[in-house]
Amino acid sequence: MTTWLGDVGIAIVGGCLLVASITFLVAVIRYSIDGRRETIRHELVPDLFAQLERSTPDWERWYETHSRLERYVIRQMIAQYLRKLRGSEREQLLELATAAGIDDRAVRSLESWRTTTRLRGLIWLTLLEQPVSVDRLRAASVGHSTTRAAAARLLLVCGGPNATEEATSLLLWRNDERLSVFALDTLYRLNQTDASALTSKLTAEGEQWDEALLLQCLLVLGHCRLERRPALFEWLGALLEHDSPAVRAATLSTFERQGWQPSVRQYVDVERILSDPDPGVRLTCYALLGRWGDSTSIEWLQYAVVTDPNDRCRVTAARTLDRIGASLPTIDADAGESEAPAHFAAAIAWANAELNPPRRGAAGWS
Amino acid sequence: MVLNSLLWPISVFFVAYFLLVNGSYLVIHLVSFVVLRQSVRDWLLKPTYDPYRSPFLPGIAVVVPAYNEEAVIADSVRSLLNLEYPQVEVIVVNDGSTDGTLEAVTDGFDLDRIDAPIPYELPCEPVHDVYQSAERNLVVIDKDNGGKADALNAGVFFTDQPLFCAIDADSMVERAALLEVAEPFLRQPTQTIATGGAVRVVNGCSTSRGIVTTVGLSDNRLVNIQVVEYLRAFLSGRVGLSGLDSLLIISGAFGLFRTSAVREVGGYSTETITEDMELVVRLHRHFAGTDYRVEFVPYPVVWTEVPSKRTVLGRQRMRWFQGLLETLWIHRSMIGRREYGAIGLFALPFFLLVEALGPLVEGLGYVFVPAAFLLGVLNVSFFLLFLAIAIGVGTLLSWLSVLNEVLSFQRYRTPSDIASLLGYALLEHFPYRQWKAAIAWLALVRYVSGNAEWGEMVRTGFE
Amino acid sequence: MSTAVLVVEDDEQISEVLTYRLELDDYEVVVIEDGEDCWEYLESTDELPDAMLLDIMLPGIDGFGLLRRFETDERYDDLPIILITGRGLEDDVVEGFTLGADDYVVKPFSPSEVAVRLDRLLQ
Repeated sequence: MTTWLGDVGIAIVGGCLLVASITFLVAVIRYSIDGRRETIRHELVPDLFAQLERSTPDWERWYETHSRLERYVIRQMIAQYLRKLRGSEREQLLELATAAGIDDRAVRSLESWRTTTRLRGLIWLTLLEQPVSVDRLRAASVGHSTTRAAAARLLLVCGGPNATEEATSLLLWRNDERLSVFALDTLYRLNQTDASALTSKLTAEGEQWDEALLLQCLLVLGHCRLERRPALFEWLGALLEHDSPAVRAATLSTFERQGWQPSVRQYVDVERILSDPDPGVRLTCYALLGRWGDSTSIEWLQYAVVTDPNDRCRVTAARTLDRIGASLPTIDADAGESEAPAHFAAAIAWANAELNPPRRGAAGWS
Repeated sequence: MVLNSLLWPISVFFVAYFLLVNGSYLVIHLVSFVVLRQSVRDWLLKPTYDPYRSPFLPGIAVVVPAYNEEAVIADSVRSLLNLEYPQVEVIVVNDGSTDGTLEAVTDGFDLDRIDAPIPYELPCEPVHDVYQSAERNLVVIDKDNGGKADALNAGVFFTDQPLFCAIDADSMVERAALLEVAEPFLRQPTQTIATGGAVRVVNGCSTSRGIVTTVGLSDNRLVNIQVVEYLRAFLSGRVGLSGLDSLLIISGAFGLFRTSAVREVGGYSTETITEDMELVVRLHRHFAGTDYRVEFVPYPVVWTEVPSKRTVLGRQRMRWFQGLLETLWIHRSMIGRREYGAIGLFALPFFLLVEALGPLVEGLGYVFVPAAFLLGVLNVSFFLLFLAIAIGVGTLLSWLSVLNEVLSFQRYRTPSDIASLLGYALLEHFPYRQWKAAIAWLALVRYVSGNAEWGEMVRTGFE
Repeated sequence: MSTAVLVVEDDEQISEVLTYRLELDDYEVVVIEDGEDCWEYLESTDELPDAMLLDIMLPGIDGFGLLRRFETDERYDDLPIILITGRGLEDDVVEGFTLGADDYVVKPFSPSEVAVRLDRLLQ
């Protein structure tokens, strides 16, 4: 009755042995291919560099003379060095890439149904800085956030008319999807010197977005140079009273770099912000005051060191004063006995004693 | 006759349980294959930006709890200071060491004592002093002994960095590992709260100044069995569980956390045996229902020294097993509850039935089924089936993990190393697994009788 | 006698391309991959190289750490140093120059440009 049980057992053992043999076989094959690639790379490197130095190398012929495995290694080297080199050497590599047909293949892969293949195509095109029409980019990328970010990056490196607007709208294609750090970086570089593409979208639709996305865009904006448009600052000024403390803090950070314009400062009611119930908002405010650095800001910081109810906030205020070389409130030695000054004295003593205050980490992470 | 009619269904029960245990592992392994094939790490798919020049990368505090680590701490700190990540702060927490751990760091790195108390409360044992480097981002917090969790809490509540990475003082982090383990945070900055990387066995590798230079196997059989075991646990087990949104453990030797999230749940628990697992379960509990992610990243690696003696290993495993039981007991109300999603419905029941009860039931099975066979109750086919499921499928799982290593990670590369790993995989399921089942029983007995094991490991230091 | 340049760089692809480019200009190039090894080499040699190309992120001890050690020994006062690094944030550049680097090249870089900068520095 139970002989089939034994058969099942034997089948299991057979299956196991099969997996073991496959594993070993793959290991042997990979080891030998990797070894050969390594050797090939070693032989090819001097040859490649010699070609790079020549004024007009015949890349097509050079590429054709190599075997399949060698060509794979060449393509890999192109991708690696394109990330590392600039200038004439890079120009030569681009010509080699064309000779190797990489750009044609990359453009063709944009048609693929597989997201990874399209992503790979977009990354190659970015390395090659080869522009693609916006319509084509959209068709290839809108389906997924990673491809949209890669397409926006391609627009960033290639430039062209409306590239900033197109790329910004690709990144903000869906108003309920948050951005990766790569996308944040791309958005920042697109809008770094002229943020109008981002600000016009933000002021028009920002408040309907997913709050986390709004927050991310505000953080990006904090690193950009803003145009002096009263409507923009009024919009930001209103956000300073947003219900979410994170949004309030992020909005405040957008004023940090604009403070050299006195007309901008009027939108920030420092007194009210210093009494914000959220420590995160106050921390951002101390960074802002430190950056503004005028005598009024310093006075506010000195006031905060003494009055802020939160230990960490007091330390940050004291550190900020220390960093910009302003004087810290002095601790009255005679008052040492009474209870009152102890809470802020600790913050001041720490800021004075600390050797190497931590660099401020990227905002918006807490 | 009565004996016969009892032994037969009992034997069937054991075979069925083995089938449940190994079958669910098999499912997880197959998921890991799919996950790894999807996230194939291509040299081309690296994003085309330079994280070093992006203002959006979160700073990371590497927190290193150190209790009597004089032999290794200087090398460890040196390699941590050289991790490839734009903004790293290393915080060594000297947990009341009785040897020269503190001096090894303060003298070795030219630190100065900060002449002021920390201006805010740290929820840990009293802090004596804080030392800081004027040149590098290195801080030492010198405090009274309070155990590993307490030491971690000191660092977690001290730092201003948005993320912190918990590292064992005796493990070696690969230089590129920090950036890689941060990858889920970079991909989903608003949702990710914790990630973990792979832990591998350093015994047998050559090292220099806290960096692994050549990967290899050890001369010690017990160590090499653990190499396979770690491959299986990390490269297949955790990858699969992470793919099913069911990651419950992030190893204390290598995990990256959002500082604010850990502070929000009150930091590490000083009352538990395995504070690393308990923390992750508590995070799941606290953030259930919100949009959060806990992920395992298999590519970044820390190398750690494993016990080479059976008695030491036995104590370590008893501690792990008791920690597992304790964490499941603390959070028993989450088991099977729908509001905890995959964690409540799959991960916790899996850990209860397979990880906790599995070795215990297995242990009985190894006694009962052969006994029944010897008494003539079971026929040969049934007994073969038992062996095939208990040992055969188990070995298959380990071999699949070796296959994952060959296909994806390739730290062990030479065909001879792979052949050895395949061989040790066999030993992992006979007799190592049976030994572990016995240890589980012993651990249970001691846990119930109130003698929790705190297997301290004796470090031999890096070579 | 040819001019000796020490390249301290752990990325093999970069040291390869630098070596090739500099050897074209008849420099004698030595590559070291580890900061600590570099320090040992410099301390044990009687003759310092004529110039140094230094990466910041290195195993052993990092580039900034090496610069700090150079500051404490006047033997290194006249050693021209170009930092070649991926760290391009303002704080890093400032720190590099403060610690006594003579020039700062951010990756991705042009090998020819590095050669010209080196040439100018050595004149």
